[in-house]
Order: sequence, then C-alpha cells, then structure tokens
Amino acid sequence: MNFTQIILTAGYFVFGGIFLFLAFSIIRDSFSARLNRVTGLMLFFAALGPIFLAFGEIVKPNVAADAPFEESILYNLLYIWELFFPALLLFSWVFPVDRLSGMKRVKLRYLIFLPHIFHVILVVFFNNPEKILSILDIESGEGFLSIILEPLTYLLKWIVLGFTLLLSSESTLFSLINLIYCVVAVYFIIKGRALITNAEIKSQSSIMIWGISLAVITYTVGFLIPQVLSIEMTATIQTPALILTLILGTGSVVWSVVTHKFLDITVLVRQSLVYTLSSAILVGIYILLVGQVDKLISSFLGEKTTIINIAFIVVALILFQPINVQLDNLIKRFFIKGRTDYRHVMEQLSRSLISVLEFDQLKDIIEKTLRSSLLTDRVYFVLFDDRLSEYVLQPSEDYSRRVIINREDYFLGGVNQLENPAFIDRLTLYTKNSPLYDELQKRQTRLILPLKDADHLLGFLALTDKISGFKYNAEDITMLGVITNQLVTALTNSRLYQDSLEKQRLSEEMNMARQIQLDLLPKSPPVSDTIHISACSHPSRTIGGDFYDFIPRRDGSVGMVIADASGKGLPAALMVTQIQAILRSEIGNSNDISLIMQNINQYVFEMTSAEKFATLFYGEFNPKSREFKYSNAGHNYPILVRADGSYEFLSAGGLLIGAFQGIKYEDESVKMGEDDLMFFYTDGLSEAMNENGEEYGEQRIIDYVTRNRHLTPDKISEGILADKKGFDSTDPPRDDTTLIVLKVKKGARLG
Amino acid sequence: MKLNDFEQDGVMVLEPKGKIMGGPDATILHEKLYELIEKGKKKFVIDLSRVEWMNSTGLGIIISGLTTLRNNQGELKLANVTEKIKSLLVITKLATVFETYDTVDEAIKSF
Repeated sequence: MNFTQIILTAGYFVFGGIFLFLAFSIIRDSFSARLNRVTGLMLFFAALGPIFLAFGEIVKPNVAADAPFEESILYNLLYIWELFFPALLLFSWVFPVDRLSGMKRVKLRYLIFLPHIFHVILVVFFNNPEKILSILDIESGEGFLSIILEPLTYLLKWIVLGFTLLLSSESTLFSLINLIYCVVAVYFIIKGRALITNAEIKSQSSIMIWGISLAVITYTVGFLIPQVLSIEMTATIQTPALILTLILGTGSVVWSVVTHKFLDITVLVRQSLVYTLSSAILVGIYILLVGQVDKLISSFLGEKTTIINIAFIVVALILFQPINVQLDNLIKRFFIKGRTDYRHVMEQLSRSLISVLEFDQLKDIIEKTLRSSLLTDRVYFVLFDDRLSEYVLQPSEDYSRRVIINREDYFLGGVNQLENPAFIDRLTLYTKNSPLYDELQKRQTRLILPLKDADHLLGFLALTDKISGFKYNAEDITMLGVITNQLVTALTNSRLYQDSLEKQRLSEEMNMARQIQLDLLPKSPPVSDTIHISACSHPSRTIGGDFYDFIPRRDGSVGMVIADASGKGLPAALMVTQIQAILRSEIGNSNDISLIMQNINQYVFEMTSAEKFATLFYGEFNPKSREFKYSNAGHNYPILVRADGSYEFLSAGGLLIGAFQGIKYEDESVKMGEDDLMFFYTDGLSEAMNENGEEYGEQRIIDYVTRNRHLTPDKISEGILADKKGFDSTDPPRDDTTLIVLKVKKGARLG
Repeated sequence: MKLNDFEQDGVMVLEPKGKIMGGPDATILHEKLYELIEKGKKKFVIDLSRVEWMNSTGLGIIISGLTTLRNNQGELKLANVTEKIKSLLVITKLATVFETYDTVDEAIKSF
C-alpha cells in the first residue's frame, strides 16, 4: 500500500463513517418522521459507496491474480451505493416541501428504485456470463425431458445473452439514469424552494441545489462524458472527481439538513465527527509513523519490537482528549456556528433588542431568532394595542389580516395565569367559547409565551411546532423564558418611543394646522385712499379660535369680520375655519347683513353642538359715504372713538352664533368722520389678568385708545399689546388675542 | 370649582363656586347637569352668586344645558348673577335668552 492509497482509504472511511453515523442518528432521532427516514436512507446509500471503495482498496492487493478483484462479489456489491440516486429523488419529494403526504398510491414511489435494484442484480449475478452459460449447457437429447428442457435452455441462454449485451453498456446506461435522477431531484428541490416562505429553509435549499448541481456537473465531466465517448480516464483525474462529487453533493445535503433541520442531533453529529476524525488522524499517524519507525528499529536491532506500538498507544491515549477538544471547537466554529449554544443566541438577541425601537423590526428579530435557533416554524404575536384598548393578533405571513381579540376573551385569562412559557394544552380549561383559542388552533400553535410586565399582560407569543416536527425540550423552554423577558423590556421601550413619536407627529400636525390657519388670515389688511387698517392675531397655543378677515365688496366697500370661537386649540380652530368659509359664501349671496348673520347662525347651529358657539362681528365700510354698517353677534363691543375723544360701542346685532336656532339679528349704520377710528378686539385683550387677579378690562382699553387716538393704527395696535404685556406677562398668553384698528384718513373726502 | 346641589319644591338648584373655566373643573358642572337631566329633572336654577368668572367653555355648558332642557320641555334659570357675568351675558346677548333672578327663591317661585 503506498501513501496515496493510505490517504484514499482513510478518506473513504471517514466519509463513509460520517454518513453512516449521520444516517443512523437521523433515523433514530425520529423514526416516525418521513423526512428523517428518507434522509437516513439516502445518507446510508451515500455511505456505502466510500465504505465499499475503502474495503476495495484494502482487499485489492491481497486478492489472488487468477481471481481478478473486479469480478468478485464484494467489488460488485459496490453498485448498491447507486441506490443513493433514487433515494435522493425520494428526498427531493419530501424536502423542502413534502409532496408525498396526501398523495394517492404513495407506495408506487418505491418503483423508482427498480432500475438500480435491477442493476445490482445484473452486475452481481451476471458479471460472468460464460460461467452461467456453461451451467446451462446441459447435455441434450435424453428422451422426453429434452423436449421440455431444450427450448427452456435456449430461452435462458437468450436472456443471459441479452443481459450480457446490457452488461457491456451498463456503466454508460446507468450513469445516464443516475444523471437523470439527479437532474430531476434538483428540479423538484428548486420547485419546492419556490413554495416555501421560511427564509432559513430557503437558503438551505439553495445551498443544496448548488451542491447537488455542482456534484452532477463534476460527475458528468469526470465519469459520464468519458464513459459515453469511451475515453480512458486515469485514476488521478477520476478519484479527485469522485471525492469532489461526494463532498459537494452529499456534503451540501448533510450541511443543510444538519444545521437547520435536525438541530436536536447536532451534538450527536458533532461528537461523531470528532471521534471519526480523531480516530482517522491517529490511525493515519500510526500507519505513517509507527509502521516506518517500527521497521527502522527492527532493521536496526535485527528483531521485531513491540515497544513502539506500546509507546504509541500511550501517546495516543494522552493525545486523544486534547485532539478531541480542539476538533470539537474547530467543528463548532465552522460547521455548527454555535447554533446550539443558547448563551450565544441570547447574547446576540439582547444586543440587537436594545437598539431596536420600531415594533416591526422587533417582531422581525424575534421571529428570525426563534426560527434559526429553535427552528420554530411560525411565530404569532398577540399584543395589547393602546389605541384600540384591545388585544390584537398581529398579521403574519400566512394570515395577512389582524384579528382583534376581545379583552374579556377567556383564553387571555388563562394566559394571564402563566408565569413561564407553557404548552397550549395546559390551558384547556380556558378554551371554551374562546375565539382567540380558535384562531390559535387554526394556526396550529403549540407553545404560549406570556409577555408580562410588573402588573399587566402585554400580550403573548404563540409558537408552532419546530419545522423538523421535534418537540420543545426543557432547555428550549428555559431559553424562551429569558427571551420573553427581554422582549417585554424591548416592547416597553418601543412603546415609550412610539408615544414620543406620536407626540412629535401631533406637534408637527399642529404646526401644519397653524400654517393653514395663518394662510387663511389676510396677509395684509387692504389698502385704501380713505382708511388705514391695522390687523394682527396672536394665538395662545400654536393655533386658536380667533380669526379676522377682510372681504372686498362689489360696491367698493370693505367687508371685515372679527370672531372668537368658544374653546381653544384645534377644535376651536376647526370651527372658525368653517365659519370663515360660510361667511365668505353668504356674503357672496346677499347684501343684507342681518340676513347673512341669521344664515351663519343657522349653519353653525346645525353643524355643532350647543356647547360650541362663536362671537362674531361683521361690518362693511363704504368709503364713498364713510358709512359703517355692521351687526354684532355677541362679540365684545368694538369701540368707535371719534376724533374729539368721545366714544361709542358697536353693540347692535343679536345672540352669539351657533348656540340657538332661528335667531334674528339687527344691523346698524354709523357715520365716520376724518380721524375717527374703530377698535376691534377679542377677549384675549380684555381678559388679560395681572398678578393681583385684576383684569385688563374694557375701561383700560377705552382709556388707552382714546388717549392715543392721534397715532396711526399700527402704532395703536403695537402700543396696546405692549401695554397689555406689561400688565400680564404670562407667556404664552392665556387666550388668543386679535386686534383690528381702522382709522379714517385725514382729508378723505366724501365721495 | 366646587359644586353643591339640592332640590327645593321640585326644582334642582346647582351652586357652583369659583371659576367656571375649561378643563376638568368645567366637566364637573357638565356631568352633574346631564346626570340630573337624565334622571328626568326638568327644572333647574343655577346660583351664580359665588361664581367669580366664567369663560366661553363655562358659557357653553350653561347654553347646552338650557337647549337640552328646552327641547324636553324643561327650563334652566340663573340666579344671583354677578355684575361681571351679567355684562358677559349682555355683550353676548345671552341675557335675552336666559331668565335671570336676583335670588334663588325668586327663581324657584317663577316656575
């Protein structure tokens, strides 16, 4: 045996051993599961190939020359390993999607094994047709018997000849069949991959597809093409090709299956790998080193010695454990990637959960973690929705609609009793008349993970069985308990964050509303030859219930309105916006001010509850006649200050608008002279209050305006606001404040 | 704001005290009023002698109480209206809608 042969043999053994061990482990783990049986079967046949090859390598040199090894039964039993191909095809019908369950005549699937069984029989029993023919060559012509035997013998001879013919091209024929099986298997796995949603399995299927496809290509190039084209291939090309095929094809399947489907046996697998490899290494060292040294010493000493052998066993015993540990770590790192290590999972999870504030992202992480670490098929979230004040079964991949769960649902009560993750069977007492339980049953959930903070049930997670069909074990449940606690913290964080987002959004909306309101106010008061107007509005919050507007009339008059809706903030702002719209449309329809007021009152009354009302003053100044015609619906009396300092109130009108229906309004006209001014305001000015609880009041307004009547409207407006601020510096002001000052210009002539 | 209430000669008398402004204070009056209306009470007098001030929200509550009662053949009258509130009622012209009396007794007798 030369060096390459030793390596080759050891390699074959290691591969065969691993596959065989895996096959048995997988089958033993859950014999009742079809996927396990099929995978086990496939791996078993895959293992036979290398094992027979290894035996072949050992036996070959020892076989006598007159009985060629190629013709021995052992060698030809090698073909049993080809049953791997139908097993692979069978596997592709079960993974990633089980196509066999629910299929009629499912037993017929075993027919795919027929060609290969036939092949084995053919090769094992008919590999030496001459021998069989000589057996059949019975002496003929012995009376009656020969009449029956002769045609039978001929028939058998023909069959044997047929087989012989088949045998001459069997390797090409069956290589083609194997190829077809592989291609069909890849096809089914690709098809199956499209049907599944689980990202983990999807990626595993991809690895499998690539692995098998590459194996098929290597196999085709290394064996089939030479076979078909009758090219002689040297062993130096074929052996690596064979090893590559094995590694790629079976390796990808094994890797996918072991890392993601049969996690519960990974420890077992790891151990088997470790022991097979360490044994192989030690045996290798023995053959390479000890044999040579032994030979050297014996030639040196002239006699055989067992010292080296004993010394080696001692060294091996000492080395075995460290080698195992090193290998175990190595394999853990490269092969299993710490999937079974729950500490690793939780460390990862807590790291990612801390930084996540969006609920959807949180859900994603939990789902991914459970799917990859526990192989949970699906995860459902039932969470309390603050806005709805109900529990909600969140939408998932397979159920896109969320389901609102009544807070009184009996099953929720059961979940609330739980302190730790528990199987759903434990809550059978709470399942009667529970729509929630029915929903969970529909989703085939098995495990309930309650999410509880100090005193509330935030909701729970419902887990289906593992993809592999395995049960959750005690270790899993412990880990799920820890994950659940982390999730509770993360959810609370997320909720606080959502609240702050909500507030931010609300304030943004308020700012937008304020902008809209500002846009609705006139940008600047109208400019006229006869009058000077100044107007301003200061809301107490970002938006308010005050408003004013100027509306040019067809006859050249200037219409003006000042109003104050009851309440504050958004509701008040919405109401004034409505009033403004109604007013504009009413003014367009009629010239009769009292009728306009009556209609506005009716509209607002019908639109709002009696509690919501507004005070509104509408007037029109005719520059030609210098007449001001107005109607006052419950608004603070505007003050008309004459040039000589006398003043009067503009009080004619009717009830505040929107509170009572069918109200009639009066209107009145006042004549304005040069330098006469009108001062309009809302109660934000009159009701400003100082530290002693005194109000700014009407009298102060009258005093200020009469005293400063010679100033321009802008100055009067600015001045009184400053005066008010000196009186009541509350910031932001208690109430919305709106001012309009209208003054007839000097020298404005009557038209 | 504090609120007392009692019944005299089949008339419900409400005695708010303090300021009837917006917020939780105002809802006390609102809820009391509607609780009694729902119980079938139809005659109300609100004694405003101890009400320092009332803003638009307070006015709204009294207006809606009056409207609701009138729709159910009931009535709400005001008694002991302070000067300040009287001027508010005058400006808003609500004085034309509410019956106001100088004393609670007068208000009760008027039913």
